[in-house]
Amino acid sequence: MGMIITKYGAVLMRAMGQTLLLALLGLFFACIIGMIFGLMSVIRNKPCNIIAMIFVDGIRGVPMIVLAYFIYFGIPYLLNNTFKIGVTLSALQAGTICLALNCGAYMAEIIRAGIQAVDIGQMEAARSLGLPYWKSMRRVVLPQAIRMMIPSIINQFIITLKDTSILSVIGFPELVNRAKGVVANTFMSFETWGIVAVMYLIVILALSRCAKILERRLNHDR
Amino acid sequence: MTDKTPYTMSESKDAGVYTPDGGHKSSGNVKIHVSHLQKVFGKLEVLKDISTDIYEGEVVVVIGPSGSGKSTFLRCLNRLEEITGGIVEVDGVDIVGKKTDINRVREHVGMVFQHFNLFNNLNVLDNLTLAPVELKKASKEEARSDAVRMLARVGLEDKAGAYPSQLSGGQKQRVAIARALCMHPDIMLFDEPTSALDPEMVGEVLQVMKQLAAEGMTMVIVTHEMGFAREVSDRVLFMDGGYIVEEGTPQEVILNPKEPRTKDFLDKVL
Amino acid sequence: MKKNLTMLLAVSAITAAMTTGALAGEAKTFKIATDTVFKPFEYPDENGEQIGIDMEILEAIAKDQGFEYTMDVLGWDASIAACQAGQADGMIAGASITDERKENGWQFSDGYFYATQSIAVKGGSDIKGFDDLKGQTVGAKIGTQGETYALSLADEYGFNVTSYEDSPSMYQAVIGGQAVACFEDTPIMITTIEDQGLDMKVVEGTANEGSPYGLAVFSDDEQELLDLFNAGLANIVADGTYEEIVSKYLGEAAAADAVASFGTAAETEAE
Repeated sequence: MGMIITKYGAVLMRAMGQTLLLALLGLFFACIIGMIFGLMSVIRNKPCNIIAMIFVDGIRGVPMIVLAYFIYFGIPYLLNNTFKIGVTLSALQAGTICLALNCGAYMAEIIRAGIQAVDIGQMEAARSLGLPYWKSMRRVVLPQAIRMMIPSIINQFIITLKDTSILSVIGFPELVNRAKGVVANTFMSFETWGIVAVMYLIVILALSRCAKILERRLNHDR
Repeated sequence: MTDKTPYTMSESKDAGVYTPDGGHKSSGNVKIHVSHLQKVFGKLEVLKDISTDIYEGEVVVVIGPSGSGKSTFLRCLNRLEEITGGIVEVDGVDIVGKKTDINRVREHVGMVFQHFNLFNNLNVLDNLTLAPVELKKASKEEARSDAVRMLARVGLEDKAGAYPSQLSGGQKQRVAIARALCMHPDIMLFDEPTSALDPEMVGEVLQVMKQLAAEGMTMVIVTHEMGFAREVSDRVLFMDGGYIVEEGTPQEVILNPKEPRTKDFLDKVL
Repeated sequence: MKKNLTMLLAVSAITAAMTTGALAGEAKTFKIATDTVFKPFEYPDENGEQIGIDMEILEAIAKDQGFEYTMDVLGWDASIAACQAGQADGMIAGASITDERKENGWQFSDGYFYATQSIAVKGGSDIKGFDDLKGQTVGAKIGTQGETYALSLADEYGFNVTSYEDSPSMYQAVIGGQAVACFEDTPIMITTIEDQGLDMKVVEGTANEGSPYGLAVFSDDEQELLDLFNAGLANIVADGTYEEIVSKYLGEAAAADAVASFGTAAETEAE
């Protein structure tokens, strides 16, 4: 085990860095996507509701590994052969899109549920004062909804962080991808996976800890 | 349909001004004109045919059994409920009109809810200043000093920094009234403002409402407080089954009801 | 007393018989793990039967040495773990014999196939050598000698390496343009390109010195398996069975080369 740390510690740390980079990029865009589709599913507009529903159900109905293959190999193939547009996605780009879509679909559901959990009276009171819908949403409903969503969002963040390992299949050099390389080089399976498990654990525990602090802060004024 | 409502107001505004016996406050200007209002939820027809006019400075109390449509009627007046049929005009503006900006109408029509609906994410002061500032009715400073005045008016100037969760029910409702007043409305709608309160807190809220009535505010109040209705209102509407069954001064409707349904209801609540 | 003695004798006799049997390698059944697809060394045929050079060599050696074995198609990663955990006695999966693996407590049989690594590119590509890879992305398979080879050249020639989990993804990346070239064992690439009819070609002159494949075991207790394998391997090379097997999968020329390389492989081992 010591040998792996001295010889491959740097490789694994770099891979953890790539894992975090991918997770952060994916989560950033997932939040935007989730917000857009989450709002689209709560507003009173049938076409928007339907589009949001198709997006969420579509993405949730496809395993992420399939989505990853499709985005990385399928989309450039389609563009090249059907539309004659020579585009290729790097593993990071494809991985980010894949995580953003996948996590975004779950975020949309969390946001929808969060908004719907805010008492309808809050929106009515805001509207009764003459505040337009979006102002009421932004100033009254969303702040309360987000507070309720935080535990679910943190949970989703952790899931997404772990889901980055799936993107090993498109060759993104994240932790699992590199760990497989280390195992193949050293033939030290348990030692390597043990180290990898501890690395994930440390990062996720730290994230959970931060989440707890954030949650307490936000609830301070209640 | 109309023949089922034995006591309906005249449908056109100039056909005659209804002057209740004690209606000294009615100056003759119609603030809210309701004509053949109908509201359907899915298959359920909650309001069948409602027509009435509410005059400037008038205090109208709406009573009736639960499910009679009185809350729905009130919520139609500022279009919190979409109107299925008929006309509602506020200050002569058709509130379902294509060119009507309902938000502008609502700025003049304050509303107080049964469950207070204070913004839980904001403290009392921010609850009061949110709408005036967001709608550019006042600068932040103006809105703040105005809010403090309104809080003083409801006797809660010391609660400006508190969050809704730290207030009692009665305090919440007084803040809610102050919040509505900060928009300087000329009509106030009250949807069962004391129904969710512990009995000992009902008085403080009614006191504030009495004060408002005395200052000449046009008010439409859905309530079960018969004492308050008798003491403060200019006119009482008794609703049942989606119609206004009987209306008149509190002496007429509450003390000498003509309709059997009104008598029935009053027997149960008094 | 007498009865007891008879009993004791009987038990000893049985124990002795069992022990001798085990020592002679007659009763013991070895559990061997292998990769799912590493064509043409191991891969499933149309019926799902695992075939390939590794499979046939082991079968021939077992027949020659008279031992029994079962084959578990676990995949590369799980095969390593299974050997470490003692769930398998050894693995045969085109595993290159490297010093690093040996340093970590693994032992290998004699090399049974000498493989070089090269690059392959898309059919119409004008890449002629490593110099043309500057600024480009190349593909490799995680944990293979091809990957090691690619990484050893990456800095010198200024290209990026993306490591895929399996061969199909790697070839798909070259065809789809996500990578301009891929690094893998030369015989494997030749077979894959031919079998799949891929629009790709191996770039000549890009092969490294290569290293031999061996049967790998993790525990010292498995010395017996290595001894049997080595003895059997020498026999099947000598009697032409080995050449026959390789020829079946890689053609006669490659088979002749493979047989000829035995001298070289042995030397490398000796170093």
